[in-house]
Amino acid sequence: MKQNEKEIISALNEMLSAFMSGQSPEVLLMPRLNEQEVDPDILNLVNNVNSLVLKYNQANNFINALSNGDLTVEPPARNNLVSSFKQLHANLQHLTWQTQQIANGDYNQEVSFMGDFSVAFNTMTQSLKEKKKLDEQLLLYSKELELSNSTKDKLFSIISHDLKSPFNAVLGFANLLHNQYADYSDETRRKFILAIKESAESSYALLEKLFIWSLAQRNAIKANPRKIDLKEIADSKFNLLKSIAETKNIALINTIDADTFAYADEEMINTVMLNLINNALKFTHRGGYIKVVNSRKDNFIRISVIDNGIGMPPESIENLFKINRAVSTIGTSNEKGTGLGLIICKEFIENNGGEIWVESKPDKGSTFNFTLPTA
Amino acid sequence: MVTMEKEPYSFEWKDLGDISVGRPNLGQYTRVAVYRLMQFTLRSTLLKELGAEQTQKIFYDAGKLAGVEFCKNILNVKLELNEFIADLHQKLIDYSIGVLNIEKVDIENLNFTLTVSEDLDCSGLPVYGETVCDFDEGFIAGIFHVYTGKDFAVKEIDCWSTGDRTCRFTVNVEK
Repeated sequence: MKQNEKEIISALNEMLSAFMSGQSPEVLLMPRLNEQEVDPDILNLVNNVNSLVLKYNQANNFINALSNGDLTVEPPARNNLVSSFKQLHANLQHLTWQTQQIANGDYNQEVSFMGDFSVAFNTMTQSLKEKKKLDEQLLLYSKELELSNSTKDKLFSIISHDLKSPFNAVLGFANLLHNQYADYSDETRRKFILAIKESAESSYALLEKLFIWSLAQRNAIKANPRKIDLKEIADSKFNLLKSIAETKNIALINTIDADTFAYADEEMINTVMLNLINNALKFTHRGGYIKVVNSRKDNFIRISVIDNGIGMPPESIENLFKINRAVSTIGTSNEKGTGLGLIICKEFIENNGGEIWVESKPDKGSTFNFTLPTA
Repeated sequence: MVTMEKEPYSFEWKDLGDISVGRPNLGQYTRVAVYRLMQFTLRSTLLKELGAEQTQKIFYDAGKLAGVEFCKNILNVKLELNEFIADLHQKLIDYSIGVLNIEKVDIENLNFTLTVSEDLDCSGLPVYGETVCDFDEGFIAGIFHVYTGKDFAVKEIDCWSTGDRTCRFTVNVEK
């Protein structure tokens, strides 16, 4: 063996000793060798040991970083000394990603890594999923409770105020007639009786609407849809309300096309049409007009009840169809209402698969629209 | 299946046929060895006929076509990216293709590093010192192409056949 070959073997021995003692040796640099003078087998050995050193050093750095919890470390490619650690690294990276997804609310992630750990982790995710479901349900119940509470408040308010006032009138005039009947003229007594009659009628109307609304709330009213003629329904409501319109000199215009048929419950749509036209009459000045028109979009008919009355500000529109916000507004001729009519309209239209909404501007008038499926 | 002589044939998912009707007794499953028997004999023949570069390209392109059809027919492309990846992970297990893990996700630049363990194509192969999952590269590229509408370059970095225990792929959007 030549001297330089002995030196190489000695250097390789040093490298391997460093390995064994846990150090990271440096590669044997080629410039130190005179390749022409070295046996090819020894040269091959140098290359292989150098390659081993490089892979070992890469592996060492990678495993050290991994053992320190640094998952951002780049796994060395084509290095089979660390193939098992690369698999561990991939699993840990995926676990990190899955944990991030779970933290973002995706509880459908299922971990399949390291037996007992996966079982415990997936049990925890399942618990979080169930808790989230319970929280959502709780929130829903809480909202329903809130609505139910405000509905109850509204009902008490209607009963205590709207129903009490007309009864006060009935009792007051009835007492006068009972206790001081002889003190009044026939004409005055007739006025008292008329006041009692009107109060009783208004109380009855309110009770009737409360009854219908409570039935609708309990789903006790089922829509019984069939082919109905909307022009005919609007005509019949105009006839019914003709005398009130004449008193206020309001023009009633029905431009619904002949043969405009919807598939809906006739009784419910009668109530809706009556309520909307009645409302329009209530809030339209003398000399105004009320127009009912139709249009069509896809498989739905749209009916619009248009008036040029007092209109409404946006904040009133928002609460118009909510029972807990419903308020009765006095009409242009001091007409009274219950505040329940539009809420019943909404229930009925939705029961028939349609929608109801309003467009309005103060002093310009209102347009109440509703849709129904075509027949 | 259309005759390949009359017009260029392009694979569609429906060409897989109704396996439940066709195999009432043997069913949906076969052995991994059978899949590999087909894949590696085909690879061997193509290598002899066309050389390494062309063979790899053919496997990549075929994988891409498979990925496109798999994504269109099996995956839910309406999901958000993270949910889509979770769905992909599950579907690859359901179809016994492999266990997909996410190593890196850069949503903004659409760059990913994915690993596949227990890979249908390569896990357990002898160590050849070079990657063999050309079909998988194309398969991943096809899936991401359908999901994002963009072209991706997928490259296998580690493979069972290079001595690793899990296949690692870089997935980068082509700019």
